[in-house]
Amino acid sequence: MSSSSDEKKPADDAADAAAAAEDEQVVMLRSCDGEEFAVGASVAKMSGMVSNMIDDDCVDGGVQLPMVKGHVLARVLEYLNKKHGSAAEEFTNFKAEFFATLADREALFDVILAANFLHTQDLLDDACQCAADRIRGKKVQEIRDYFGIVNDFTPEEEEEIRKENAWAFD
Amino acid sequence: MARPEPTAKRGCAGGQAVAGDGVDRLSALPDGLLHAVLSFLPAPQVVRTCVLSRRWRRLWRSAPRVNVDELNLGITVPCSRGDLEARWGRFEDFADNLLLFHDSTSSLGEFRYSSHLYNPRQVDRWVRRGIEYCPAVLEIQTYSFSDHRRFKLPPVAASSLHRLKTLRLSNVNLGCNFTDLLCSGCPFLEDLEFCCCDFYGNCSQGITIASPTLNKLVMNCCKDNTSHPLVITAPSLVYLRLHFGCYKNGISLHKMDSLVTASIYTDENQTFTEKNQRELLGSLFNLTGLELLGFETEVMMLSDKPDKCPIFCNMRTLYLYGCFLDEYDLNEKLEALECFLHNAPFLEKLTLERCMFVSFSDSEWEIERKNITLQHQDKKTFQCPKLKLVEVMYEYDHDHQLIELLWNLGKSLPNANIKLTKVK
Repeated sequence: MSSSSDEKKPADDAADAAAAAEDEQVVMLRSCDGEEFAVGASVAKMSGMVSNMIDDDCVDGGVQLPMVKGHVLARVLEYLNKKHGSAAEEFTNFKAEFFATLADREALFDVILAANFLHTQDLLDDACQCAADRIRGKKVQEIRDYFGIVNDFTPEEEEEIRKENAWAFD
Repeated sequence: MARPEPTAKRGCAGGQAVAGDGVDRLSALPDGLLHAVLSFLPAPQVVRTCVLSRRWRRLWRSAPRVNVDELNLGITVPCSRGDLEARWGRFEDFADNLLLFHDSTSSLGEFRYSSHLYNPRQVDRWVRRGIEYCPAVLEIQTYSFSDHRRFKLPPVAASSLHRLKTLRLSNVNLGCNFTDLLCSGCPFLEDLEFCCCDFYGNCSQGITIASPTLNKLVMNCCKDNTSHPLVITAPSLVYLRLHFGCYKNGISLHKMDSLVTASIYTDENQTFTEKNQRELLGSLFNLTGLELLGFETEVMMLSDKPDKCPIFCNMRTLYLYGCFLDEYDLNEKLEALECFLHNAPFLEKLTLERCMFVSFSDSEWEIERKNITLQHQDKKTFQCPKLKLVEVMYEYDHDHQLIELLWNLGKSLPNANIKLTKVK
């Protein structure tokens, strides 16, 4: 499918409203699964990658984002639009909720990879901080359980590593 | 990315369920992104990831940020000397090993160090090691006990600082050798912050901070013990903060052409002499926003020659905190304020917080004036055509001083809105 679905996403509405209000350039972003998002240039420029393309004037046919799926791009744009349009305190509250709803572990990593690809440094920092928050304070086995990390050490190997690095373990 | 067949038993999947199909998406991230995640964790936890799986075994060693902070090893601020002795041993062990086993790169992203000065020789060793990593961001923060000992920065090779972009030092003694090095050896320096640092030395010319690339400079509670003025030359400086401290021979600012915002706080201990305060103000001619604390009437008058051309051609906002608290009467203070505003013809917003009169919470303070007369005489209006908003913030009001101030402001600035706010 090449056109956006009939149901308009909130990210679209906000972006359209903002773009229309300011009469600025609108950039069309296309996800790898064909979804299209119209984004005002001021928000689009929060992505280092898109910003460079705008500066080099190659956004006319829209920007194809081969690494980013539609539903992920929607979340990214939700963050960027909110960051662009809100005061600091309001944005802090939004951030807390935004990352709380990324409880599904798939979504958090999708966002990290997308933010990395798009060079949106603030989103990348916040998403990595979120991942770190889910590691912090957990014991080794708890971390493995939470993220599904497979322990490929033998018990002897693991014991050796713990001894080697005893200075870091309690 | 191929992963070896798991030979150990899989950890129990009790408690929180693993994502969807059990794929470990965290470990699947590239090294760079895992390092980014690790950079938000305290160092001990970062090292402990080595035992998660083979993928993680050596990851911590190449992490681009090294943060050695005694807080992460149970040493709190403040800390009694007795407690500290017990925990320092563990901290020592940790810091030694972390710096020993971390990959000796010559291009570390960040090196941060924070601890008490329990054993200055060890701290010196660790700091030298960290600087040898040629970090782009260097932060050193030490805490003294009541003996006010400060950490003396070790001699540094020019080559170690050539990547330096951000430097933050807290409670450190610095000589002119170091500041000269900053000037000549750091072609990318952008952000400089000194907190509670002492400048010392027998330099013939005193301390100079000169950098063509410096963007932001903060000096909080620093002391200059040399016998010369502190000279700051930074043509790219955008933000300047000079808060308190003691500069016996003053501070001299040069080439502040790019400066947009400045914040200068002085106190009764005479951070700067009055003459120096005026000189400082004169150097800040290009800025847009200015914040002053503790400036008094005589300084705010700026110069004795009222016909000089305006100094602050770009100033849009002015924030005065605790200014005009000296012994002059209100009319004289307002005259001085007028003189200052005359030098800022494009000023749009003025904020006066706790200015003009000292306020006390003690309600037993004698009210000297039971009633006052607000005179309707012809008052000269201030020449400040763009000033539309004046915000007056006060804590307590005695002796009808607040209403007297508002009345006079209203008469002097008839075209401005005056907003009144009570602060806690």
